[in-house]
Amino acid sequence: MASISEIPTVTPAPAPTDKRAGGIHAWRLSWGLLVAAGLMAIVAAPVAAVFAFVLQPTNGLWAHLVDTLLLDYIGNTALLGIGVGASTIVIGTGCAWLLVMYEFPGRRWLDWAMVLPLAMPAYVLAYAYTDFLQFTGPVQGLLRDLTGWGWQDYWFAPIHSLGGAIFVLSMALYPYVYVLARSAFIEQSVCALEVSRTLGCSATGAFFRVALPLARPAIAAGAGFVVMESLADFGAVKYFEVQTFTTGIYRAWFAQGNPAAASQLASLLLLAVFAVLLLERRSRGHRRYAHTSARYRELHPTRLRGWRAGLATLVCALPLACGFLIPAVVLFDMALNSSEPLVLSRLLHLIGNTVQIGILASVVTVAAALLAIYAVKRDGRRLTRGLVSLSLLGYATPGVVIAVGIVITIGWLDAAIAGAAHSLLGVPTGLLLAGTIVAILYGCLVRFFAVAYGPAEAGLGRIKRNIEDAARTLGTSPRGVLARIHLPLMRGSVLSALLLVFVEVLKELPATMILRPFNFDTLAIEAFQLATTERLDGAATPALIIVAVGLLPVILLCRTIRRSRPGRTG
Amino acid sequence: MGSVALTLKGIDHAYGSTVTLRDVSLEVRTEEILCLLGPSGCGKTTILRLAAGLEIPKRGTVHVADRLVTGDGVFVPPERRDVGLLFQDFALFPHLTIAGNIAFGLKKLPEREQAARVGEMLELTHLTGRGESYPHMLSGGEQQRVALARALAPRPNVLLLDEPFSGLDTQLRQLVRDETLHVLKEVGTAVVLVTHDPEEALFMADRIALMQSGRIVQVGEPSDLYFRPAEAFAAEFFGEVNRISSRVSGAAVASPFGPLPAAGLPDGTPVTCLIRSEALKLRTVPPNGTTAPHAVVEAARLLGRSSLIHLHTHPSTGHTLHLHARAMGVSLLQPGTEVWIEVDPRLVFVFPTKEA
Repeated sequence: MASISEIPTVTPAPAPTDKRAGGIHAWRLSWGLLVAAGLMAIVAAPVAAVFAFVLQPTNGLWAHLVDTLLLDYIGNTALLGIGVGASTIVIGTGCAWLLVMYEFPGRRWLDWAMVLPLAMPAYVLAYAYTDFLQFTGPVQGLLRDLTGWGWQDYWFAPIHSLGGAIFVLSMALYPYVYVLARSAFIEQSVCALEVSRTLGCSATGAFFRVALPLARPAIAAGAGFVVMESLADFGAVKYFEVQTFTTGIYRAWFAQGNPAAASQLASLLLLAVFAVLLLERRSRGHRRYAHTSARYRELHPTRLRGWRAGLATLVCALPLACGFLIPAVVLFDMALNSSEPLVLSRLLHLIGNTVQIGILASVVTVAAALLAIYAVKRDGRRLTRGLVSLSLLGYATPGVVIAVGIVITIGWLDAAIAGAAHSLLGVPTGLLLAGTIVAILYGCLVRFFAVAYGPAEAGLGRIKRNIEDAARTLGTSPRGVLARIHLPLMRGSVLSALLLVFVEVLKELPATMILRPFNFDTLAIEAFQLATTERLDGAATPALIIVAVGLLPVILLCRTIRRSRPGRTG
Repeated sequence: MGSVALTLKGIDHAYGSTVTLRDVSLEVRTEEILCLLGPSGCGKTTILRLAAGLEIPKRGTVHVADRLVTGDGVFVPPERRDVGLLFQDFALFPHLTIAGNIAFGLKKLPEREQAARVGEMLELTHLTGRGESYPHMLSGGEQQRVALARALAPRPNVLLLDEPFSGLDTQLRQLVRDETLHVLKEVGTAVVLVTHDPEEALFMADRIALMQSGRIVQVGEPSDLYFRPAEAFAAEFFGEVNRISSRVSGAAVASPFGPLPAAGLPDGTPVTCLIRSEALKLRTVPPNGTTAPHAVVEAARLLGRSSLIHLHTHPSTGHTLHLHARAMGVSLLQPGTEVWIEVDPRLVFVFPTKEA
């Protein structure tokens, strides 16, 4: 698994530029293009549906929104994006620089442990910190014990606020910037840094004038992803009652029953997301800096001593503690001392539902990704590749928007099927797809297509053309090559793609919640419902299960990171 | 020589709009090693891929043994051609053991025969005992031998080798080359070997086909190409030459060391004389009938088994040329020494100068 395969990029991998494209591998009848176009249609349909609904009349709700909440949505969403983006850049880049360039107590394990918060969905952090920081919680309790203050004697920053949302999202998302910045710093040859020192830069100067500009494309990619994720967040902001676009869409659709207004909000949010995407692309541009020197020397971290060493350890340990250790302990405590714990049968029922959705969605999504990868491989034309890379954009689309789009799309489909059945067979069919598990699977396919595509494509990329040709000259048919070469060599990548999608589906909240069949609860939905109905203790157990399963791919990532220092093995 | 194992006739091939092969025809017989020699990008590898069925030509036919496999509306896929291909990067299957790699092409044989053939191949390539290892556990030389064993195991009609030694370092290359030659001769299959190294071609080949930008310049035994190059390109490809531009006069060409024969070229034709550096024999005493020295030594460098002597022509010759001469062993010539030059006429080639 590549060290950043955790982060599905929306930039498709560079096309396999094989000048020998063609030959006997040329696909006469381009089913590759057909598959790509089909996938694109499936993935794009919900987004297109959202935009198509924009012109529907809103019965005055839109005007009402403009007068009342729209400014709040815009302001809060923008502040959330900027706040989370800025703080993750500082935390992720700063910690990566310290851990790459300096030696201090705890560096060995901090190096990989920094990514552990990836297992914590932001809404789980939100539950944990609500418990941790509430009036009866340990922090305020300790404060009162120390000072002797009582109720209303003091001001305490409320976690249920925009600031609180920025805090939990930053803690959940900084590892994306950290991982990319870290590998960018490691990849830089130390020679470039040493040259800058001999040219009169101080150590700090070298960081700002050489290392940071060189790592900028990677940092921009990480931050762009983080901002898109914060714009897409639903669970944490909804729980904290912060009015953003995602909560606004949810409210317009379900509380006010106004699909047109929901679509209009969703379109605006989508435009913002794509603007961030474009901005990130532009800031990265083609500036993938080549190595400036051919010689590659291992970085020798400078040893820090005394208070500097202590400070470095503290700086790096703080985000890890806030993003993983403290919430994990709090959740455990909540689960163990819960006044009304979930009964086992209910828990097993939830796990059953979640696993069912997870397995089905990951199989469907990975199968679609494999289909797309082979379509591109067979038909390497620009058009085919373009269509597939458009399908990858589903990952940038917020879950709430996808859900709204799918409700509309499936509504159309049901109407079409019912109409056809009525005119052909004369029987009313009612709604076939709406409110079924198919809707959830569709949503997961759109949202997590890129998650499956990345590792699977990397796996196929490792199978060199010559290996396939060798198999052919040794008497194996194309189908035989698939069975005897691709299948065994792709197994690892396909498994990790399945695992990644499974975990994403497990953590996914808004789309599942909107699209699920009536009374179909998953772990994430149950936790959310318990938390929003003031039964936070009950939310702890399902949240902990989500985190525990989410740790699996994170542990794999940690192992990759531990091995990823040049010139070091094991 | 045995029967014909591989025939290519009138092959034209292009990758998109880039023409790679123009009207190429070749024939390889069993028990023969044919080297396709040429600079990179001349289309050598494409010929192998066409023969293996990994590429489709625009025009022309390919026969393996007497069977038409490409052309005239026929295309036999690679897996049904009985052609073995050894790749430059060896392309071993990383998920299979050495034995598994070698047995890969033997699926049609009964298990017992497969095992016997694998054992035979391991022994042939001196890999006995390594059958259960995985490719990444082997050295480069061993990997090359596995690739060879794997390609030979199904007993192909023709074995195609694509730069099979270029992945190895210089020391190892000599050794592996020698081993491979012995294995190939022992098996006696028809072999087409692609290389850009003339020394390697001379070492391995029964016949050499020299290629330049998509066409075959000359086919022949190594000595044909060395002593009777068909074009200036062929003469230059097999080693360093001294170049003299001149015009034909009386079926001869004037040179600093007397007239050189230019039979069959009309007077006044602009020509290029190519003289191999090993054709210049240097003498410090004048041969009979010569008075003025031909050249002056600038420097002598020992290159191992031979020495390279840098010379410039003596003013009295009326030429101003820089010349390289090659002599066996250590040269004792000091800079400034005046020398007389005797030319080996077998290593002098005169070609009409091509219009630029």
